[in-house]
Amino acid sequence: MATVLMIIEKALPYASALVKFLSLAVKAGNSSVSKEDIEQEIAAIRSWVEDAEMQEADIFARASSDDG
Amino acid sequence: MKHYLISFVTVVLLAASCAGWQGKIESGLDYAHEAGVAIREAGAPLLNQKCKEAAYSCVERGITDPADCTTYVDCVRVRSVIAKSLIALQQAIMDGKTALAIDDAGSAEAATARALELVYLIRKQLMEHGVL
Repeated sequence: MATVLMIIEKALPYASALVKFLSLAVKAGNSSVSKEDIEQEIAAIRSWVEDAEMQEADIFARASSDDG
Repeated sequence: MKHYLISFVTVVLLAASCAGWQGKIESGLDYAHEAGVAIREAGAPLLNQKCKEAAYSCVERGITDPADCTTYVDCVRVRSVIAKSLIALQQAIMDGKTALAIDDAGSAEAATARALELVYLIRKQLMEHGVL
C-alpha cells in the first residue's frame, strides 16, 4: 500500500504534464490558424488597397494627361 | 490514499478544463480568421468596382483631380475603414493566439470577443454600404 501511495505521489506532477501535452497534441492535430496565416492575410489586405489605389490613380492621371 | 486520489483527480480535471477553454477559444479564433478572409475575398472586388465606377464617372464629367471627386473620396474612405478593421481583426486573432500560448485565459477570451465583434461590425458596415 505504501509503495502504491509513493508511486501516485511521484506520478502526480507528471500526470498534469501528460494531460497538458495530450491536449496540445489534440490542438495541433486540429490544425488551427497559424501566425503565418495571419501575417499573410494582413499582407493580402494591404496589397488589396494599395493595388486598387494605384489603378484608380492611373484612371485620373490618364484623364488628366488627355485633357492637357 | 483518499487524499492522493482526490489530488490526482483534481489535477486531471483542472488540466481537462484548461484544455476545454483553450479549444473553445481556438475555434473562436479560427472562425474569426476564416470569416475575415471570406469577407475580404468577397468584399474587395465589389469595393474596388464601386471606387473604379466612381472614378470613371468623375473623369467623364471632366473631374480629373481625385480630391474633387466626392463619390470617389467617399468610396476610398469606406474601403480604407474596412481594410483597417480587417487588419484590426487579424491583430486581435494574433493577440488571442499569443495569449493562448502563454495560458492567459482572460486576455485570450478578451481578444476572441474583440475578433468576433469586429467580424460582426465589418459585415454590418459592408451591408450598410450595399457591398455584402
